[in-house]
Amino acid sequence: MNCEEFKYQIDLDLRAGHLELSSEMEFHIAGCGSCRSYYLQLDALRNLLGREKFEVVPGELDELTFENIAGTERPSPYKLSFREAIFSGMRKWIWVPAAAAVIVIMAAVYFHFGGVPDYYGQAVVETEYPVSGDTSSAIENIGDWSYVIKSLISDESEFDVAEEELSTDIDFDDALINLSDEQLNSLYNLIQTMNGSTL
Amino acid sequence: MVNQSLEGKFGDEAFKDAVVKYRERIFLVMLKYVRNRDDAKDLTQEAFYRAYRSREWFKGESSLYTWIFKIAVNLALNFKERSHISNLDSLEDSPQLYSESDPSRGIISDELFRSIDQAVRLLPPRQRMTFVLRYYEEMPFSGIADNLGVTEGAAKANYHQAIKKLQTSMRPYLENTIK
Repeated sequence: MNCEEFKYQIDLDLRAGHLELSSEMEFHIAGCGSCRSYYLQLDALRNLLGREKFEVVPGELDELTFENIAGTERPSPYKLSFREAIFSGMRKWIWVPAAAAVIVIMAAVYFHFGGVPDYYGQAVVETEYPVSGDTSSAIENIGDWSYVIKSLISDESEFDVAEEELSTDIDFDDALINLSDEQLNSLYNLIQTMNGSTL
Repeated sequence: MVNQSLEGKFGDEAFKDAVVKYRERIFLVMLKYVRNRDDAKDLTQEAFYRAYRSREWFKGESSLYTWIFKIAVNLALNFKERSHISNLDSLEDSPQLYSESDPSRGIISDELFRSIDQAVRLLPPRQRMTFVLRYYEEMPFSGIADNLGVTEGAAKANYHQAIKKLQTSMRPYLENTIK
């Protein structure tokens, strides 16, 4: 038995009533001053703790009867409040399924209405062809195409040139995303009035 | 042992006997744990109440005392979890460990009493309950493990840690005692 084993074992053997040493432990402390000192300290702790007395005061538990326990339907004093139920112990994980439920509901709303509702409760207009490929490069191009489309709206003479560019570049779809509903409507009307062309 | 029916469930008479026979034992364990007489009494009453309310779940695989005791232990663990901070706050105000009529109250100095009280209160719930069951009740680790729903090794580790912490907390007194 080494010192570590001795100290662990004597800790486990400590009880209010006694602190006995096995013959093996006696043998160990006979030649180990450190463990002997540890033993004395532990025995002193036992003596200190042993000064506490726990007793029942006569009559103290008289009201704790079968009739009082079984005969009354009462709210438990240890029933957790809603707040405690949420924040104490494992119950705090109730937020996990709650958060999952919120996500599922949001996803259901999104797919049901075909987009996230805007300020007016209308679904945001989506392009027919969703953004694909490298999103970051597409975003960089949106500004350029916005400029082209705005030019289209303000100057009809540029349409033919712009139309060719628009029809050959997939980033046009990305550019549409950057337009407001009002701009999209203007663009749509513009296209309708120009030789029946469609994009 | 309190009479139980053959089915393992208990009737009102058996439970009535159990209340009278076991209330003091359970109360004292609760008192050693919560270290407040009112709380200990409330916990004891609640343990009996819950045992009675859920009596159909009692299978008779253990004694009625063991079953009620286990309910009490788990109640105490949850109780401390909720009121740990408030109990520490009230530590200076009303250490009610001893009854008014307790003649041993004068033997121990108030300062030492508060130190022991605080040292035990500062133990985490499982360590504190393990300490109470092992040190005061001299319960084997297998029984502690069963009551706390942990392995025997975990119960031993809890007790070892509890003793270490108590030694640290009580070091000034221990040094004086040994000198």
